[in-house]
Amino acid sequence: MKKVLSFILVTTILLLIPLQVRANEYRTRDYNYNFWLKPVPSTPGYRLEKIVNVASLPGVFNYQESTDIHVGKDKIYIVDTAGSQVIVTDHDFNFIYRIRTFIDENKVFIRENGVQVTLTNPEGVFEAPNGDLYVADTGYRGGPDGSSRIIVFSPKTHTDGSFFYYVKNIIYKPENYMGKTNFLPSKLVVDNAYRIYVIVQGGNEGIVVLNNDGSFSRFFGTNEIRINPIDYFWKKLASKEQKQKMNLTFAPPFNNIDVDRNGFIYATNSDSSTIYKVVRLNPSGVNVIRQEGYTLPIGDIATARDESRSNFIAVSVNDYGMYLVLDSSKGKIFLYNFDGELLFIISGMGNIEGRTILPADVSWLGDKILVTDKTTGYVLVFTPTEFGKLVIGATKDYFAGKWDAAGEQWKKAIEYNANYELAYVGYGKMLYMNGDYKEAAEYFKLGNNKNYYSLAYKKYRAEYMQEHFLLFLTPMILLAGLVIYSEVQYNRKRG
Amino acid sequence: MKNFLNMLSYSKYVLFHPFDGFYEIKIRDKGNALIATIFIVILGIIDVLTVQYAGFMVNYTDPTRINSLTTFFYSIFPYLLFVIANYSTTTLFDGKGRMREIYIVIGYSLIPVIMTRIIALILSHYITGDEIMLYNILLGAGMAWFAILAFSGLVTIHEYGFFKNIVTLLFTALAIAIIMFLALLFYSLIQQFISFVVVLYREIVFRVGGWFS
Repeated sequence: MKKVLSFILVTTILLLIPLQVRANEYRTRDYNYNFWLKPVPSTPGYRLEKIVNVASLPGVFNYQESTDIHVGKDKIYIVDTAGSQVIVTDHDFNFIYRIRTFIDENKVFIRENGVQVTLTNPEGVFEAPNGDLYVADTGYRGGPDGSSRIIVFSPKTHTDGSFFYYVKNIIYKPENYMGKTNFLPSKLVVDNAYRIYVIVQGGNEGIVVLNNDGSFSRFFGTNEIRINPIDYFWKKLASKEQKQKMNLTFAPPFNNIDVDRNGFIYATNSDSSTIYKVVRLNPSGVNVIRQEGYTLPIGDIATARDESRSNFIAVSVNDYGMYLVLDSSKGKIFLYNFDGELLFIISGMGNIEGRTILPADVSWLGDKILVTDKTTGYVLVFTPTEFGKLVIGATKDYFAGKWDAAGEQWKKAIEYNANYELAYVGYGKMLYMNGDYKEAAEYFKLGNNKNYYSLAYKKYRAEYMQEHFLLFLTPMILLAGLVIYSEVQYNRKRG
Repeated sequence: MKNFLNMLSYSKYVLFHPFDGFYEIKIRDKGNALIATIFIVILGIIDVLTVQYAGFMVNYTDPTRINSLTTFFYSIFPYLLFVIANYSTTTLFDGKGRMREIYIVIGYSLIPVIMTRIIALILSHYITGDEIMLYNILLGAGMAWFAILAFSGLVTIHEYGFFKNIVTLLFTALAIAIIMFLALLFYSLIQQFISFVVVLYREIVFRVGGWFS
């Protein structure tokens, strides 16, 4: 009796314990947009790998905030704007160097009126192909007309074996600079020809291009804006004098910039009046961003229920044309492929692990994604999940022209996420390339891609017609025979 | 029954000889409102089918948002509205047509629309992006045929000239606008009234509940 009772008791207790089955991914509410621009649940493509607290790295002190982050060949540069310093680490976040004071080539402090010269609230940093570090010293106001400056640091190993960065060059406002906005560099990139592309604060004229010697070259790329038809109408009617009194419509300034392997400039803006929130500028300054996605790369699609739009503040592009844009209004990272199709939506705003409070910048680190959080000073490292690896790998292979490898990975990706329309299209593309047009059309249909479906179906239809030629020819001949016969009969009757 | 079948086959004659056909319908009573109703209902059903089963290239419907009933009513509603609006204007313009006759004209004129929609529905499964234009031309041809039939039918039954018919059609459009406006007004009024009653009911329940607690 006792045994029975205890058995019942134990089983009841066991039954009452909730059985929890948890996937090892943290619980997310990941989504992506489908053909009808509705958000559908999606398998997460990235998960938080680790959080780097830059302030606690050995060698870092007086650290205040993480703003700009840039990944160089084998180093990572993190800008602390409020703390006026740049932290240099390797790709595993091992501290290498802290740039704050200016040192000359012989490791001697540079002094001005007896005071050590330091960085003043820098905002942007970029590593040139030769390893030189370009820093936008935004807070500095000592240049001509209260302008700021760009400082070029170069790495060097001293005779005593210590590694340091010395000031190689300081670029002040160029004498032939033409713009009306003050020269206050905020973000910058350097292309393979060592031209410097600078975003100046509030620069309506576009991106400033400087030659490597620091002289002004030209303005480059402006934002296109939506024109209000009513304003346009009144401006058409207005006389010259009236026009002078009206407010001028300026092209909104860019706020962040990146350069890809081929020297194309990616830049973002967060103005509500612009058409393109992220642009890809070719060498002549024309926007050539690919628009194959369901919408332009605008981040979240505003619906009636939720009208807030994404506000892009940072962009980073990798060698495969995949670009990340960071949305400051909801803290989300949008990952687009070369064609402008939305691959993943990552992270978000909030006080939860894997989210940011005030995101500032985003960057690729190989296939990983780095996000800086201004408030906490942390750098969040996101790494692709199994599904993410397949999608990233397939996109890379497709970009490199390896259709088969890409297609196989897309096929596996479908198993992870049946809602992922791009995967169906990707697999369909492989089938199309291999001449299996019928299957390809079927997959394009599943992926809701009418353009590719049309191509595949056309081929399939032509093939089918060729194979069943008689099937189509016989009725035609019969019809023609019937017409001729009836004509003959008709004419015979009339004589 | 035989009479009914005769009338049904007579609609074929109307297709190609609208003036004669509708004249016979008006004078010799060769048409039937039931047949017109059948055509209108078929049109509604075809539209429902098109929304759900049209080929991939022309089908932009989100399958999660299909509602067959609303599609059905939205597709036949304009024709019924036109009948009422046209009757209410033509009575003021010395039109000889009765409401039943207008209804028959519209219903019979829909035959080409129904036929082209059926053909288009089947063809839409076998077209590519380049041929969407042809698909649209087919549908447009159906609508154009409908317009010609309906116009000549209205001319015949109202015993109008060409220009007078155009004038009455313009006024019909005005009447449609007025009817729509009134309908919307009525709709919002009813909505407000219902919400008033609901609020009143809740208030009473709240108060009465208060007394007893």
